[in-house]
Amino acid sequence: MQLYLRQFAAALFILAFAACTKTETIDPAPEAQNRIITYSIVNVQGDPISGAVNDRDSSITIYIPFYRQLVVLEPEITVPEGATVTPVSGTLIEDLLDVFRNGRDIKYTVTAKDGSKRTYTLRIVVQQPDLVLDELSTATDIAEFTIDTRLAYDAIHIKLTGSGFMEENELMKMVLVDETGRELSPIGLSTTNVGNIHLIIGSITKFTDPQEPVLQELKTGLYKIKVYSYGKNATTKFPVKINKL
Amino acid sequence: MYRKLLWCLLLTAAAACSKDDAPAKPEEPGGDGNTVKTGVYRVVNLAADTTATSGGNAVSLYYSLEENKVIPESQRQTGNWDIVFYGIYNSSVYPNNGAALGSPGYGGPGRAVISVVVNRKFDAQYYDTLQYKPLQLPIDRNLFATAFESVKTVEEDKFPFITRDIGLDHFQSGFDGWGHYDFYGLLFPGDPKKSHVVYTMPRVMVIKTHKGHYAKLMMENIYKDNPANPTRDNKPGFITFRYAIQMDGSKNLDIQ
Amino acid sequence: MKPSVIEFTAHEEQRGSIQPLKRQIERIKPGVKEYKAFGNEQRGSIKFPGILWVLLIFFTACSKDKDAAPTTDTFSTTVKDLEGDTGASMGDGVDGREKRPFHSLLYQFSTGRTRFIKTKDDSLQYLKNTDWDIAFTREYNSYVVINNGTIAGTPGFGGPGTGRMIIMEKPYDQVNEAPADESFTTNGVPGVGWDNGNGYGWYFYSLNNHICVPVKNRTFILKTATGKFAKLALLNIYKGNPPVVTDLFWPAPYLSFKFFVQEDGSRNLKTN
Repeated sequence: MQLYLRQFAAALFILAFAACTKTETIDPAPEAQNRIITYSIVNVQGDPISGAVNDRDSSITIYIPFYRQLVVLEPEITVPEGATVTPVSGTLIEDLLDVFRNGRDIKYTVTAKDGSKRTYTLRIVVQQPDLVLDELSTATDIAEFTIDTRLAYDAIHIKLTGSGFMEENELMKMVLVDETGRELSPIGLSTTNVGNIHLIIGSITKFTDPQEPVLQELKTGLYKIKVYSYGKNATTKFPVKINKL
Repeated sequence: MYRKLLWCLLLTAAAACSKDDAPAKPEEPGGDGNTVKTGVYRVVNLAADTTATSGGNAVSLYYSLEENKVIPESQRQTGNWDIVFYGIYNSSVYPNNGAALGSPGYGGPGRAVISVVVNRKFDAQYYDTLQYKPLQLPIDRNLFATAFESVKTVEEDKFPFITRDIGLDHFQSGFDGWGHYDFYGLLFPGDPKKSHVVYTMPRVMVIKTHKGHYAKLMMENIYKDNPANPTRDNKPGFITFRYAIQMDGSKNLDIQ
Repeated sequence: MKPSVIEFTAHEEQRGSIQPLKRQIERIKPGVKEYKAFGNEQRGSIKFPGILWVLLIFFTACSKDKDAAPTTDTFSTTVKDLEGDTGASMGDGVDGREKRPFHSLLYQFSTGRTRFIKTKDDSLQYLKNTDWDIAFTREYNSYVVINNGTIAGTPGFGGPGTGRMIIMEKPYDQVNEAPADESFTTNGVPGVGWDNGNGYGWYFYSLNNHICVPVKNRTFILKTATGKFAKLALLNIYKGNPPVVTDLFWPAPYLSFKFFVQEDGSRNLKTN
């Protein structure tokens, strides 16, 4: 009996609540008119790459898979009616490799119909496997290379195994890093192993004049080897010794 | 509990409202809308894009047939160009196709394709059709105009479109091309200045641009100032060509 | 390491969705794109400078791919250092060589017999038959063609040969079967030489470092002159098939290649 009463009371209560309570409709906060609605990368085959727009921290995150080999991005941006965005939709983000290597501040400012502004920051996240370089030297055993510029023709070949190299040489860069941390000009990459993601071979060649920049900058000394592979980079822990005669 | 309700309402409202609050149409991506009209265009001494930043790479010449202008290499993975003069001495004419491995456009959105029109009967006027080399050089320039005008439509069945390049005619390959590379100078025996020279042939290429318009294109010269009888002293990398583009969407290439 | 499929879920504050990544199986396709003008290269000509063809740095990767299992191939024939026309050169002033077109070199799979075509008489006498299956022709004997009587511009033109060639982007040991006849017609090529990046060739040549580099993991499926199925891997153009060349005048052309002919007439090309 008590149970029945309780349930009955509950039912009455619910009905009463539903029927008699004044329903106050709370209007949702109006949607910001200075927001980005969508952000996609459209210069691809097939479906565009959708970005994630985050209104809380005013950021846009796009995920770029390495195997698409993209070096430029063409964003398509939608904003509310009456609003404008700068840079405008379609403005290219050029030289993506430079963005990866040196960073770049990419921001979008949306101006609403009413003049209010909001600025979004773009985050590009590259999805690619780790870049790992196998060492040529150890702590006690330094690998040595010699190039003799007195000869008509000489060359040294720096052969690095590891993983995470790109299939296209254009997406990579190999440099020597001297003892002060300075990077020399890039080393030419061999086409022998193009397509091999476990091997990269760089060659410094003495042949005709003028000599290539890295050879002009080179002095006998210790150098670490740094590889830029699309969105990642890695440096050998131990240096090699290069003798320049 | 009240807060949870508020969030629920907000989200419902958001879902409901987004239908009414239609986003503005995105502004046109890419070009500034300066496409050319249907017609014939000639480009003379097209040289490298001097604003290129990577000095080590080949001097590739990316070109928009739609807008009749050079496109910087930095835009190679976009739909802004239609063909590129690429590779060793720009001898490969690739269409902008993002699905073609080995193409400069790979990875981008490009949908352009290319073909070369070959008429062996016409060729026989200047060309040994069994040995694949010109009978004599230079080739009569009148033949170029005739060949260009004679392509009046797109014969896709006869000359299927491809996504790879049109290059040097039967040079280390079985493919018809746009130019003959006289490697040994066999056509001018005894003249050392005539070896390793590329002679354009009166061959017409048909291109479907990235935007889907049909065009015909003929190479005239790869040497500076379009010499009639080039030698090793002439400077390559300055491309002269002519093309006609049909902007009405049809395959009619009979354009004056 | 292949990319894995990664799925992201949208949080409530984030509008727009992140699409799940599709795993893209890519043919490993090397693309040679660098053709830097080298030093004081002569203006005005396209050339594969004679001297520079000879002076080469040839560099192969580690001979074994990390993932490849050792093969037990007792069926294939490997030919090393088949001497091409070493009397010819492409440039002036190369010791002991004449600047002239290279003589074509014919090769027959079943006997290993070779023949140079030096004169017009040789052409008339020795080409229009089925006694040869492939020919190493043109510059540095580097353009490798099949024996087919219907393809103009090839040495076998006008003869009885029914050879064909298609390009397969697969390592030699993984090519187990020849495709159907339609493939040979629609995808067939008369021969392969310099790959300018478009996939139709057996070696790259880069003006950047003057290396003639065989394309890895590419096999050629052939029909021999008499129509038997075969597979062919073209390995090297330098004497001794070396991993490193440091001598300025490293000898070439010395062709190294590997092949297998299915004598029973079937399409079976399995060798391990």
